[in-house]
Amino acid sequence: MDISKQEAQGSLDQIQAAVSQTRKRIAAGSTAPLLILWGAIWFVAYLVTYLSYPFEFELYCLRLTHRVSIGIHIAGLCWLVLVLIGMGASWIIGVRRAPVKSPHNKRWGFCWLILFVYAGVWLALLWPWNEYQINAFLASLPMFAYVVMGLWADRVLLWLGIVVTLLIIAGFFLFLFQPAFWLWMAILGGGALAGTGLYIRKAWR
Amino acid sequence: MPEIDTIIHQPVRLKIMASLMTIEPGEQVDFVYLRKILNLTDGNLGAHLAKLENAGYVKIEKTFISRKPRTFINVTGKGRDAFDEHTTALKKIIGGSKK
Repeated sequence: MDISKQEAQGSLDQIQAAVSQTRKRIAAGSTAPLLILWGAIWFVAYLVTYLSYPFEFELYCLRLTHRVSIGIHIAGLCWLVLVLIGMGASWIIGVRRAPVKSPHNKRWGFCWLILFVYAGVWLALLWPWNEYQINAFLASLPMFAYVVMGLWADRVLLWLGIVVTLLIIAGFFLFLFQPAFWLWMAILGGGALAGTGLYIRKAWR
Repeated sequence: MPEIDTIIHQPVRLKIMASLMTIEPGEQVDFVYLRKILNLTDGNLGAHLAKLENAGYVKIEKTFISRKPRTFINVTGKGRDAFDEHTTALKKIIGGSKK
């Protein structure tokens, strides 16, 4: 079969365009919903943490009045519920409804699970810590995973992981042991995740 | 000497093959998703995939996920070799090394 130079060039351009479009659309179909989901979870959970933090009540015991903070327990419960919902939704989005069926999808899921199991072990060994330290640690953990995934899969994840990790560190030291840290994490941390997800969804479709 | 593959050279099938080549060996892409990416109708994509399947270039697998039927497609080893040969032939024609 003989074809002209122009036709050959046109075919190569078509291939390049199809490859680029497919890569972006696959990333938009699997990465964007996960980022939006976790961005929303971070935003709600950190906002609840910030708003509930001042809640406390007075406990009368042995003629003494103790002020007991319940805000941290409300926030902890909120986090637990939202993280469990997020994990279930992530499994559905990332494994069952993924546009590309890959033997790696389940492995990625198990990698995340193992990462958090190890984190639980480290936290138990490193006790005592305060709520700011544990939150900065737990928030940076998925960012570490994003950076690692970004090296193999999607460069957007790499940069997002680095930027949010820097935001966590900056917020931790800027608002050392201050409740404003929760607001910082809600707006900048959650916002960065959801914002990147929305950008990918809009720009790469 | 690499030659132009007449099955792959057809514009729609070229786009299908190029899209499928972006996924790793062992991975499969959802039919509906591929249809949306390439902006094709069910019938059009199905017909071109059938031609590629007959040539042994793609493998089509129908399965059920959560009791819903889903179709997944991947490029075979033969398909990857044919696509590589086709692109090499195209590059040879334009006389460069640009992909």
